[in-house]
Amino acid sequence: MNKSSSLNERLVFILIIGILALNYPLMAIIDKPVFLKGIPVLYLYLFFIWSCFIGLVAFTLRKNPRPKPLSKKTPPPGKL
Amino acid sequence: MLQEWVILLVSICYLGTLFAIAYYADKRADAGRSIISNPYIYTLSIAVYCTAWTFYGSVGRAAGTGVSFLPIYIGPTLMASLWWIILRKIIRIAKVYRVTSIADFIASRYGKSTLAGGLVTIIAVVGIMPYISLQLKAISTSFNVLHHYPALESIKQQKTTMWNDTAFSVAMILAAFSILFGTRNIDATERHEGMVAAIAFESIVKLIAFSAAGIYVTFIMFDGPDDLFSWVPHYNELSNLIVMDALPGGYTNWFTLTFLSMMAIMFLPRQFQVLVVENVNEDHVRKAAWLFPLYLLLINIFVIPIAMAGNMLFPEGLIDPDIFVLTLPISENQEILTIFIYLGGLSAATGMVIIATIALSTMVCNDLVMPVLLRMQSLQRVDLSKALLTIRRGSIILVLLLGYMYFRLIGESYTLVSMGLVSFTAAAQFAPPILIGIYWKGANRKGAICGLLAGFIMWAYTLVLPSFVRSGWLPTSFLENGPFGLELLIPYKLLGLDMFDPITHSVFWTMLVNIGSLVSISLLSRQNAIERIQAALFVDVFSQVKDTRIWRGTALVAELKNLIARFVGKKKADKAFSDYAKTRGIYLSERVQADASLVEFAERQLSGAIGAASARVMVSSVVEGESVSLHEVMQILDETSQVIEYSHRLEEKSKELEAATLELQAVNTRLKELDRMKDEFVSTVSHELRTPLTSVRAFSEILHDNQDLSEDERRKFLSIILKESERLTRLTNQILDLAKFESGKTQWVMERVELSEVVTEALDSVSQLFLEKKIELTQKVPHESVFIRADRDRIIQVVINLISNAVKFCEPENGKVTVHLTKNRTSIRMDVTDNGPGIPNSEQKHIFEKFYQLQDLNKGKPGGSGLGLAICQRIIKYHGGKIWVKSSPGVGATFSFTLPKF
Repeated sequence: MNKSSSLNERLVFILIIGILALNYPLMAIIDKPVFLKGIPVLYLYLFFIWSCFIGLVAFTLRKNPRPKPLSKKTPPPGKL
Repeated sequence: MLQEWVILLVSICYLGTLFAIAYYADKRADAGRSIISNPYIYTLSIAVYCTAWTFYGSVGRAAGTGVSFLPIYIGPTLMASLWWIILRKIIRIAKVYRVTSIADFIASRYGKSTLAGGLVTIIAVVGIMPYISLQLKAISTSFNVLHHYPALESIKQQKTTMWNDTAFSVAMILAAFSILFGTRNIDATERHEGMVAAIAFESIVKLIAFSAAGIYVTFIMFDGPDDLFSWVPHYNELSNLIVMDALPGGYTNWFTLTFLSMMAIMFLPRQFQVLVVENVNEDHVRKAAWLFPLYLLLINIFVIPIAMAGNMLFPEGLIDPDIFVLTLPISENQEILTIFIYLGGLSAATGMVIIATIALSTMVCNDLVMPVLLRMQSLQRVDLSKALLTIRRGSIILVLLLGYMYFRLIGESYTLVSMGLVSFTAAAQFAPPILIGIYWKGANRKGAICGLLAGFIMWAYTLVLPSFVRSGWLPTSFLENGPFGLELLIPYKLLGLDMFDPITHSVFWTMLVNIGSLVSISLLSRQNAIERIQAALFVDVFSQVKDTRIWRGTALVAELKNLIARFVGKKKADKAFSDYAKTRGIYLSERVQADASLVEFAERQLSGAIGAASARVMVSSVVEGESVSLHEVMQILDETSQVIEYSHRLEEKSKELEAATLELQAVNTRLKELDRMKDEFVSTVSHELRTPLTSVRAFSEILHDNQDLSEDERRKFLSIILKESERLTRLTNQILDLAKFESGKTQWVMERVELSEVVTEALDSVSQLFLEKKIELTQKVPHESVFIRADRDRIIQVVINLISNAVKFCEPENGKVTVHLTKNRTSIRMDVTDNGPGIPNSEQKHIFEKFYQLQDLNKGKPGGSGLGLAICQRIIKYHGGKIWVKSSPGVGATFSFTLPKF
């Protein structure tokens, strides 16, 4: 029960991020006739946020989230 | 020029392929090896969301207003993040109660209400008309474009009558096709595997076709997106499109469209059909929640490039932007590509039409026609399974005809997207009764019906009526001055609200009256029993104890079976009943009374075929005594909650019992241990007592029997006897002491005691020992007095015991004993150290046990009783202190104890 309710909370959180990022006023920041690498920034922004959102949902809903072994997370020596 | 027959042949072949796929999938499903039971097919079937609107309309929209086509796809993406929470619940409910359509769902939730189901059906049918007509328009336009290939200019001038109208032929072909697909036979199940497989295939075709068009335009006609966009600044009207300025209604409209499409993706009847009714496994939602948005992303990437290219290459106003996708390859004479793209558009449109008509025909049949038919007495005993099929087929034709009518009346003057949005707003009316209904038990039938009705009327007034005006069927003064010149009633500016674009305006008003009525009326009116039951069943679907006692069984099994047979056919009814008997492991005789769960089973079977509301009416016509009365239902609910309460309490009791048992077990083991210890004690004591007793007796006998012993010997023997009896006395005293300690009968005389004084006194009484063995004694006692609260004699006993032990184990002549008294803030500590042989580590922990004696000392058995330390430990414990030993073998031992300060 606990696990599923925290999953629900995470999904709602992602939704809120999505709604904020894809609406006024955040979108107005990028709403300019500027090109980045030849492509209008507004288009780039929309499709970028869109992909990120899909990735977030996919990551949150992945099956059997297994914690990674701790040893892999520790940075290699000398790179701190 | 593409011959008409070529286009027709390609179209027919394509539809034939679809049909073959559907046929194959159905066969596989019958054989129990479903090909649609995986999240990928599920995702592709949801992609029926992308219709001709997406395929043709998005480009048209983008060509005029830039990114404003996007919220229609961003909304579903956002909504999909909640699918795991909301959609899964809806699917679970639909599965458990065998819901066949969105109308059925709402009817079931609100007390299996026929009225609610019928109302939803009407809204769905009317609301979907613009959407269907959109598809017809798209197909017929694309057909005409192809037909005039490669001439582009002549497309616009078309005079059509109903009989040479492509749209009409398209409508009829689609109707035939949907009938073949969806209503080949009537099943007790509400799912259509073959149709889903065909739709999934269509989703692949349209994605590839559109991407092909996009890639052709972007990378072959232009040199990639940067080349394409580099032309934008040269066109004045295009510079607008790369920012939000072109958006009609601005950010408000953007937000409205996002909201609308969030609702539409779940509550358009066809989306509900593929998302919920056709769902095979609710776990598929997990993948679909991100795969489907990914599909949307992919199919939208090339919309803007195509729109831009169309705007640049065609003179303004020459070509309808809605068909840029087709006309761009045509202008380059790409025959094959054009036909392929045409097929993509065809699949987008047909997919939508097929699912929508099948979903709607199920609703019309189950929730509109059936309830009427079932009330007719003359039809009470007729086999209706044939009639069901006819009704469904008829309603498919009806739905398509209505769509065609709308197209003829209005379609010409609207773009594809603005037609679709009208339908979206209608579908959004279903959101409040469903979303509120599955989370709030208080939402009731009256509220839902009023909300739906109010929302529907508001929708018709603010969106549909103006479209009649715009098409010239009503005077334009209606829009400008309001009906009868009442400005407050202008459809686009209701009550003078003129800050919104028409869609936002309509969404605002419809949602306001819909949600407002639903909530306020639910709060103000009461639910009847069946509503209350259904509300509870829906809201708590995940945590449910199933109760099948809503029906009182007074029907014969045979009657029930006949009833089912009337709707699904005899064979299927027989199979359903024998399956039921098999899974329950019972033999079903036709003549017995059906029990409640069988009646319930029959009702669900029937629900699958004719919907929940009708099924209820039918079953109640067979089951005598009808359903249970309100009073009884409440009793059942009470009983259920009581049973739950009881079982809850039972569980608690059994948990308590378990704990008690564990405790008892522990006590039992302890008792056994004590018993064993007692036995051991007795035998040890007897043994210890016997040794001195034996020697006393032996030497007494010698004295008694041998009168002629020398005086020396006599004296020696007597002294042995004396010594042994002393030892006996000491032993007996100690045993008595110990016994008193253990039984708690010791008399303690607690008083204020000065500890250094006690130590001195104890040392005095053993000073003789030091002298005898010539052992050096070191005393470290603080100068100031140290007080404790204790039994003076007992403490002296402990100190003497420890010191005499130390002396006992020291070598004579060079032995050293140190007595060290220290104090800290809370306690006093005494250490007695010797330099004897020490105590092996293994024996240290046993040293305070009764009768424990150090065995392998070179001296052999020491003279102690083995009780001294045991007694010390008990005394110290009684005083609230601690006693322990530290020793390294060969170096010596330190016995220490602490006592709390006074």
